[in-house]
Amino acid sequence: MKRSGSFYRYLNRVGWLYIVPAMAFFCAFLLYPIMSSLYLVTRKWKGFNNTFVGFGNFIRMAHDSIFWQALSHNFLFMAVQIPLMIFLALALAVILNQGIRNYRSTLRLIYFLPCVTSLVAYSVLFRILLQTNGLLNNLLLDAGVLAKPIGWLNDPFWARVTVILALTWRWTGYNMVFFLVGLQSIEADIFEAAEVDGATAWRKLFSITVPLLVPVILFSAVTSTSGTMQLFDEPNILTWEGGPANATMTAALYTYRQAFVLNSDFGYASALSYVIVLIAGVFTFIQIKLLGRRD
Amino acid sequence: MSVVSRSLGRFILWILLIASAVVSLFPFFWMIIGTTLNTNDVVRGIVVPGRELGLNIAKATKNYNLLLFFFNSAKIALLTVILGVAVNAFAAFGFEKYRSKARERIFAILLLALIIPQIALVIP
Repeated sequence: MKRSGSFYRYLNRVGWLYIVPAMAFFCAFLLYPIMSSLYLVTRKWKGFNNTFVGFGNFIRMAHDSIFWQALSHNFLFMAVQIPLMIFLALALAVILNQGIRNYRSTLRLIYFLPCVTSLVAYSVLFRILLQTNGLLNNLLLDAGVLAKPIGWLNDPFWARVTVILALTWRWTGYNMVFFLVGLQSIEADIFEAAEVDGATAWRKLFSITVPLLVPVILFSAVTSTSGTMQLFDEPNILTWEGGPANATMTAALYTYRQAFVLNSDFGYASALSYVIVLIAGVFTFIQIKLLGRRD
Repeated sequence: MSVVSRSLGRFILWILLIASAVVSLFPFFWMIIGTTLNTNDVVRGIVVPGRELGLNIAKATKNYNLLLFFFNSAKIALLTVILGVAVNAFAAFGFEKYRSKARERIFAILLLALIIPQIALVIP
């Protein structure tokens, strides 16, 4: 069917009308900051004055060992926390979906609860819980698991463990809900056919469930990766400004501190955020290529 | 599969589920217990309810204007939801029902913008 020209133009105008409000917000709160940061990255701040430095901010970044450390922590959290969380979320989702019929929605709500809490509230709570003489250490000492208390927040190694555990606590249920929805969209016929063919429960899990869940796992991996690249709140509040001694400093937190806490150098901070965005983009691209190529 | 090993399997599954639920819920439970304790007992890690609930509430309402804080949050939440749903619902309808090359391209840019860190956007 061929549309008449004037009617088509009318439709096109209506289409633009619908997206204009969203575009206005996008321009004001995303496009404008991005454009102005293009100007910012070429400048260096000293007090209220700024001077043109060209690529100076990027050269400074190359020699900034704290930034590289911070970035390596991002990668560490990514490499340990995301697989751990996806494994746990997948396990819980499969158990809830197959083993349990009663209480399924209650348990789902309980697992989901951590991610709707306020970031600050949960970080403060965990701080008290994980103090060297806090509840967790006391419990483990009384149970005889530990000989001496662990410095969950003071020891560089354990502080990183704490951040990983806190992130896992917060986001496992969130991702589990996606997996559960994915599992429920798999047709029961496939499992019945596999049962007729004599497949064991494990075989069904690894040959049917997991492959069919790949798109959902991909979604989780991509959002978690970009979330970990932007990791900010936990190191800022839970382990107190990336402490102890920058052991949990992350790239986003370092950017924030450069802009608002340490020396108000907005130029350098903008350059840092460009690098973070670039790395997050590269990771997303790699994951989509690796996991998404099947279709 | 024998009946014994099957029910053993279910038992292990339930243990896993309950353990996860306890881990998920404990901080909330502890927070509620904390409202009835004084500072010392919270820091010492006591898990039985105390008798200072009334005192804590009195302290909180005396030192901070809690009503105003909640009202502020509620205002922001309400406006965000109304504005967000209105703007986004219109945009989604526009993108889906009135397709064109130009709008598809804008949609791709919008998706791309999702990976930009929040912190990067607060720099003036």
